[in-house]
Amino acid sequence: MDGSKQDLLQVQNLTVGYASSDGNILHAVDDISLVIRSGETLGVLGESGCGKSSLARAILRILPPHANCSGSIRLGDKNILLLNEQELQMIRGRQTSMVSQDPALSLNPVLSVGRQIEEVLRAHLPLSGRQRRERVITLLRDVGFDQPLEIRSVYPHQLSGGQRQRVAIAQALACQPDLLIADEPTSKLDATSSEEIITLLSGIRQKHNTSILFISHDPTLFAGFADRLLVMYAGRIVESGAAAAVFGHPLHPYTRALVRIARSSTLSASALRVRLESIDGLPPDPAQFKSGCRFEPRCSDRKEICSQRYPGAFLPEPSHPVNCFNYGE
Amino acid sequence: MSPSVGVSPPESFLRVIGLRKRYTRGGLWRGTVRISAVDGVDFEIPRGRMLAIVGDSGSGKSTVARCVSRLEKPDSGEILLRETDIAKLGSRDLFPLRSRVQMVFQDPTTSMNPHFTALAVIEEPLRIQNRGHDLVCDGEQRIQTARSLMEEVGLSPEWLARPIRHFSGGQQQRLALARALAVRPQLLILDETLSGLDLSTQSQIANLLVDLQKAHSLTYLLVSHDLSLVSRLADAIAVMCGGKIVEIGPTADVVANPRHPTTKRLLDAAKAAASKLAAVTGASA
Amino acid sequence: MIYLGRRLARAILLLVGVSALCFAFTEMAPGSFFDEMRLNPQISPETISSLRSHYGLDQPLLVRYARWMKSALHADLGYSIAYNLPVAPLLWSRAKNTLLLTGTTLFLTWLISVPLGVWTANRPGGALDKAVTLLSSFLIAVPELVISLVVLAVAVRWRILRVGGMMSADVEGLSFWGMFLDLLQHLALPAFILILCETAVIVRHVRASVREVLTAPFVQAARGLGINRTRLLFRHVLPVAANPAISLLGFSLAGLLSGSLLVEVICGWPGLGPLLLEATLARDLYLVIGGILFSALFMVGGNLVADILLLACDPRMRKQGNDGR
Repeated sequence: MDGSKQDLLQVQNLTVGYASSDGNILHAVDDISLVIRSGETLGVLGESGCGKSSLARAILRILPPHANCSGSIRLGDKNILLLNEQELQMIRGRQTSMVSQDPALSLNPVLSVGRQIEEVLRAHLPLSGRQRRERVITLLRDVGFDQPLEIRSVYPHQLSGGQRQRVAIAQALACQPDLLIADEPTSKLDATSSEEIITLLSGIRQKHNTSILFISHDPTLFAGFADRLLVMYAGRIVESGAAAAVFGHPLHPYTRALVRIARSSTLSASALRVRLESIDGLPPDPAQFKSGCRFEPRCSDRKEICSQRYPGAFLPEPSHPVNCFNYGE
Repeated sequence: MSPSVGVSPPESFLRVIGLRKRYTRGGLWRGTVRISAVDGVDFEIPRGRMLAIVGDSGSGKSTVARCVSRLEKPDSGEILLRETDIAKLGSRDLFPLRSRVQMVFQDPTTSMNPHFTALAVIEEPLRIQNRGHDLVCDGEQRIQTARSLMEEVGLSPEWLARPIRHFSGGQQQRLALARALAVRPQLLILDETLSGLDLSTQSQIANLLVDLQKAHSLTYLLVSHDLSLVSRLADAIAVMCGGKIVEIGPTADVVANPRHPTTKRLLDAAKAAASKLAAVTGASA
Repeated sequence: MIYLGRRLARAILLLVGVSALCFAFTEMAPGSFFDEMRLNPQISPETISSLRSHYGLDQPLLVRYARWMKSALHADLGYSIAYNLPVAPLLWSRAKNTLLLTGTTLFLTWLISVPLGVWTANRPGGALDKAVTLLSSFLIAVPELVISLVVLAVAVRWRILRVGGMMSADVEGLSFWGMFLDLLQHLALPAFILILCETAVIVRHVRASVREVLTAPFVQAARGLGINRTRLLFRHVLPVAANPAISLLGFSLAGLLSGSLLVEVICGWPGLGPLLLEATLARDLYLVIGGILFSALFMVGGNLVADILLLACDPRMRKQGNDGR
């Protein structure tokens, strides 16, 4: 690993729980620790309900009021969980920003595209009106609009999904943050737009040395894009390591299953009407986690011990921890 | 112009000829602007097969789906279900045909009332069509039908009393399928039904669709933007661009020998994704 | 622009339709102005029939309508049989009083409701929110008639305000400032009642629409980009929440002439309401029609103003008028 890179974000023992109306606590994120270094792209692979969106929102502290966090999230020398609202405002959009899943919902419908980007600039940078407008044009060009002057006065409902997402990225990058969180930025887009966005994000990483936390449920998107990868299931990290290692020889049964499914869903010239790979069953109920491995009920490699204790992290390979009893006791 | 799609079974279940649909903007006091959503589309689906229509957003594929299911009335053309042309039928004549054609949408949260229970959602078409499996059915029979449908789509019948919003996205999509199957349709139109789902959920639902097709001899029209996925499921593929079908043929043919630039572009993207994944995953299990 | 032209044309058609319906309905309603006269043995039938033809009431319906239309286009709305005065000036003199009342009410209602609605939306479940919800529920549930009578009774009992009419009898002798104060004192009671009833409704709508926007994803996204709460509220939330509020404003404007009838009658405020009431009871034909048309004019105008405002404030509305992308 490149030891000269600094740690940008350090998450330790983060737990995010939602209090539900009947008194139960839904643990969306359960004791997670991770590190993002500067200039690095960390991928989080996981499906609905695994807690990845809660993780992203916890880093920005934009969780709903009935959510509780514990643990620590260190950005530079500050612990985000301990900051007050004013200090947080200075970090959001400036040191860290987020691009969400549905571009149709994350843009203000009555403000023009240019205005919305200017708002972010206005909130953080002491620029004059003219400087702001110039910066907006530069940003729009950077995210791939050929005619930034025209796009600037356009409203979100006049744009396609892919274009809206590019505007959202422009907003997120306006103040050149150190960390960009992309929470499933392509799942609502069609295949063509999806690819454009990934290309755009790769370009950003190279150009500005921005760290990216990229969250998705589709293994295909990480290929060639993420440096390191975390696999999340039911609120916990079950495997992590260099993306090449995790994809090249996935250790955890869940990761292996996801990779199998992804491969079976890719283009094929000949395999027609062959059943797709799939995992039986459904993710566990977050209000009622049982002891033991959470993937166990759906696992084809399960052993008896798997339902009794939660597997710690084992290291069958260096820098490639996996929480599975198939690799240790 | 466009080759018939089926290979062995000669029986054509759905034939669409010269379908046209335009949306107009503007009104009384200005020049009306016509936008051609679908501009002359022909295809055919034999009984028990799946035709997939792929294309980018705005290519007109969803409009084709809506016309075939008669959610919209086409401007011209014929839609032959067996031998009956349903393109120009009025709502009264359409009613008995509604049970032969059903549609499943992309977003289950907007196509089902989130406050209805699973039972209410599944039995609603039964109430409307007043049919059970073969008989006119009463409340008790409807519940029985709902239970067996839930099991068939992989959900526990215990959950019949749960409101829709308590189900996950994938489960809701299964419910939408159960609802569509309630009236024993012969043609199922799937409008981006598999889009926006998690990978494992998507594969589960896709497998379910294949199983259901075998079990009930269903004919499928699948609309999707995901050429990769569609290449694994469909018997034939039609590629749409600008309101027209630019290429159509059996899946193997279209994938191996694309002719139109749009097809080539979509294929290239799909191949690039596949090879990226293959490169990274290597020879993993 | 063309969109506005269409709305205007539709508005005119609407007014024509209203006038036609008015004529039709008043014709169908039983009784006429002269019924009471007929009962009076001192008035001969010849007098009555000559009065009738003087007012053109013996002509067939369509002829009457056509003649009325023709003169209406010259801003002559006919003659009031009861007052023996031309309708238009009579209406206008009363309408001015009503507009004074409802205009003040509108202004103050919105002045109170908007900040109150925004505040309670921003702090849901707080003490103020609960108080406002409770009070507004109560005010909406109780009929306006009851509220008016109760307030009136309290005012009379405790001699708080001048009750009845618009000006005191001895107002002539006062200075301008004195007259003004006197007017205000008379205005206060009916205005208070109206403000009470209307604020209850509007504050809830404002609160609901602001609340809905506050929980929208784009607000969360903006918050996530570090935009502070105040700016978020005023520059991001309110412009979007304004949309339904503007429609509501249109309704308020539309009701400027018609919404205060009950209160005017109870408080003795000499506005359009009591005039129309009398006219209807007396079957004073042209006065009734003129009055209804006047109200309709305001109603249509109010909606038109709301449409214009909406077009100006919400870019999504403009899409319908353009060849959007």
